[in-house]
Amino acid sequence: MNKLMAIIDDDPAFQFITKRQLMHSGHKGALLQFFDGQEAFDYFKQNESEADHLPDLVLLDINMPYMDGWQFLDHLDLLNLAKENLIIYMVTSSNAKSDIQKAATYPRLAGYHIKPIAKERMIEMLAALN
Amino acid sequence: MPPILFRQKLLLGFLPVIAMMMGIAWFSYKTVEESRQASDLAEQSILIISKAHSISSKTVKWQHHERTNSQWRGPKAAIDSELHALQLLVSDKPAQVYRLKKLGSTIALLDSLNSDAQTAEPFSRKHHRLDSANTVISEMVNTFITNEEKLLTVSQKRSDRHITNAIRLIFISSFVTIATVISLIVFTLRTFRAKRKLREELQLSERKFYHVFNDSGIGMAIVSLEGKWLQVNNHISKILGYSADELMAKTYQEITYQPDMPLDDMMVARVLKGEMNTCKFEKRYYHKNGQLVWVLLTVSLIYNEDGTPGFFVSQLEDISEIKKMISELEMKNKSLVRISEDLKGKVSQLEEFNRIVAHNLRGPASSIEMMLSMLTDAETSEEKDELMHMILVSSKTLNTTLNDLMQILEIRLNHDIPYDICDLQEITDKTSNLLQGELLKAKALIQTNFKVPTVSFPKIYLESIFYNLISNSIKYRKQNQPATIFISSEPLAGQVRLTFQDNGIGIDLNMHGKNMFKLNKVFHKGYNSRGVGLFITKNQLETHGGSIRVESQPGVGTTFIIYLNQT
Repeated sequence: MNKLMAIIDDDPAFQFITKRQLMHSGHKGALLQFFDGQEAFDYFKQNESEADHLPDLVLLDINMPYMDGWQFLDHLDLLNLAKENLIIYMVTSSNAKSDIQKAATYPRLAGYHIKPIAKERMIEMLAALN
Repeated sequence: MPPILFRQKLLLGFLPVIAMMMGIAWFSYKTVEESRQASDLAEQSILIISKAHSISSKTVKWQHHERTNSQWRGPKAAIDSELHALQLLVSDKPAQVYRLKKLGSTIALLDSLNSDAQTAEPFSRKHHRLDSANTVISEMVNTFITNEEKLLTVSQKRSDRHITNAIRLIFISSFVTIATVISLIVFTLRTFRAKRKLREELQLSERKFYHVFNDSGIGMAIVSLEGKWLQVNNHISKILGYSADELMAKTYQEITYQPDMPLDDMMVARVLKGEMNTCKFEKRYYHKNGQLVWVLLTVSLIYNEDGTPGFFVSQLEDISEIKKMISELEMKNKSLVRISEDLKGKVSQLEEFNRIVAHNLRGPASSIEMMLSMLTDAETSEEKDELMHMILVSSKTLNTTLNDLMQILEIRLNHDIPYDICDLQEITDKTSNLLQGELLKAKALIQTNFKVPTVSFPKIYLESIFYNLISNSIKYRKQNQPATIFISSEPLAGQVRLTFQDNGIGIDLNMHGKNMFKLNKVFHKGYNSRGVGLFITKNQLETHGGSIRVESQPGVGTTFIIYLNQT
């Protein structure tokens, strides 16, 4: 069964890299790409009740224009999503302690990864998906 | 009730004594008078007795003469005359008068007998008759004398008794007088001793007061109700710089710091009204050298004996040093507060830089690293070209962020850049000229109301701030109506407040408020913003003691409020 993945990040380089990594690690499913939190949230809101259109795995950046990663998470709690087991990873270049501590206060997050994501870590995440 | 004076006491002590003496004198006079009367009676009795004796002897002589010859008429006349005189003497004693009358009639009988019998009577018979007459007369005279002697004895006794009484009275009165005089002397001595003791105590207390007053470690003064210095001690001269004589030629009002006068008047009025006995307050005097001296003043009102206000006793403590220390402490405290605010600002700046490094620098750097490693694995030349392109994009991003950071660091490091007197209208006009094209396109109108026309701030930064805020207002205007920008300035305590108010699209501060002035934070899509202008504005302000905050409502407009320190 092919799983749906989403990358929410304003950095085109990261989007490009991650896309390549997925291709090389044998991910077969479709990939949703959003370049800021607002764009992603609008999509989630639109497809709130349609489980098929909602991703199974989300890689979320913190620092983005219009709506950052934290705000995206806060807003997501307001939605009644059709998909229950939505896995969200925080993927950010920040190794600041304040960000890591803040991430621990969001129970919805499955993990916190500092960029760049190693190949092994990517395979791990995809494996958890199945 | 007024106290009884010593003189009055003495008079009160003497009055009964004088009355008693007068009483005694009167009694003595009466007694002596009665004694004298008694002794007069006695003397009269003695005269009467001697006269009676004389009559008796004359009678004997007469009879003897009768015996020898007939010439007896002469003695008889003498006897009659004496008898008559005696009768006058005893006229106030009826018993004796009666006896004398009997004697007189007896003698007259004898005489008639003698003259009848002169010739006829025999000698023997005549002798016998004469003898018996003689005996009768002798007996009668003797009875008279005995009676008179009895009266004499009574008078003498009376006189003696009165004299004894007078002596007793004099003795008693002397005793009373002596006792009174002694007690008065004792009383007077004791009074004088008490007075002397009182005077000595008063002198001692005056001496003590003199020392306390003059050698006191605080300033002390006696001040008239009108404010004249009547007496001042040495310490006051030390506090106020005037000598005692100079000060006593002045009133306290003349050397009081005028703004403190109303407080002084109010306090003194309350003391005079009797609302309080003593008042204590802080005030300032002019020192002789013109400087102000802080003094803690205590004023007490002293009343006269009749209860009217007499004069003030003032105590002055020099508290200039304490006041100076307090103001120094306050200043130190203020600077500590400022330093602490500054440190807080520095900490938040550091946090902001940390965030920039973590997100804006590390992000592209790690991507470049990653893509470089991918470059070696790339199989096709298209792949390689694509990677190279992406690396270039990331490098550019990195470079831009580094440039922004450099700009900020320059601002931060330029904190000793000279301040200029900036004319706000001039800066507004200059900015309008720079943005002329955009203003025309937006049909924008800039209105100003500068209640404070100039501020002190580095001019290039203030121009940059005006440029950023005005261009933002134009950029985020509503498309369906002309933009209006209202800029104003108002004075605040030690600050100037600048306000930039627009009628633009506004911003949701609940969502973006805390990111408003952060680097690379943008809030509206489609405006090609980088999120740098407000970040730089905030840094320019904070580096030079200013601050900025924002008020906004989506769809209504945005107001930026800037505070500039003007010290």
